[in-house]
Amino acid sequence: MTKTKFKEIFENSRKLAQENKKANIISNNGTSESVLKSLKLLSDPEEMQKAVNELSNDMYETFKEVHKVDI
Amino acid sequence: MSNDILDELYNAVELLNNLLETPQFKSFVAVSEQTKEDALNKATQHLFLHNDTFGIEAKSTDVYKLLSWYGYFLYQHADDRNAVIYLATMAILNKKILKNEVCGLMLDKYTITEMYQMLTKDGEDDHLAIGKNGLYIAFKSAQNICILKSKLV
Repeated sequence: MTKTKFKEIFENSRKLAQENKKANIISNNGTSESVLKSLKLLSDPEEMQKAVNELSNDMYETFKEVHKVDI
Repeated sequence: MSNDILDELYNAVELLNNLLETPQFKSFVAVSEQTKEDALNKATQHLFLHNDTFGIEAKSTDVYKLLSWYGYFLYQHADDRNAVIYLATMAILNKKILKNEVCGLMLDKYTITEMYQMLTKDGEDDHLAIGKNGLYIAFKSAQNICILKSKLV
């Protein structure tokens, strides 16, 4: 998915929601600064690939554990 | 709500899309561009509906919400449904997002395995399932514990 498409879909949903917005507001932590920093790094293709490799190994371990099989 | 974290949210969503394209998992699940767009539509609409219904305004869009619900709807819309999508979603939530909170907390493999199994019951044995909101609030609770813990130190 392109970043442009992502932003277009996100903003369309935001516009639809604003029409029904309620005044009752409570606080929420949102996304932490430290998490934002690590997600920002993924804009670098090398960092993205590194994360994909690490996480796919982790997924593989859980998959094996649950399904008792090797892929 | 700030616009400026959309780049980071996009990276989180793309990480999930890329994980599903790895040679180990590609054969298990078929996710077309249209499926991704449909899932993102559903996830963002649910995100704003959730915030509106419960009166929530956050400092920034919550990546736990977006990713949990994107992963859930991706599974629901996938041409070839496979719970590998849930595995990828939880791996990112746990090891890329929760781990990068200030206290570096992570859920253990037993809890992840239990959550995965509960997710796979959604739509089949609902009384045993956790669902999309359960997935989100489980990780959100862990984030909150992490934030509170860091304030005590």
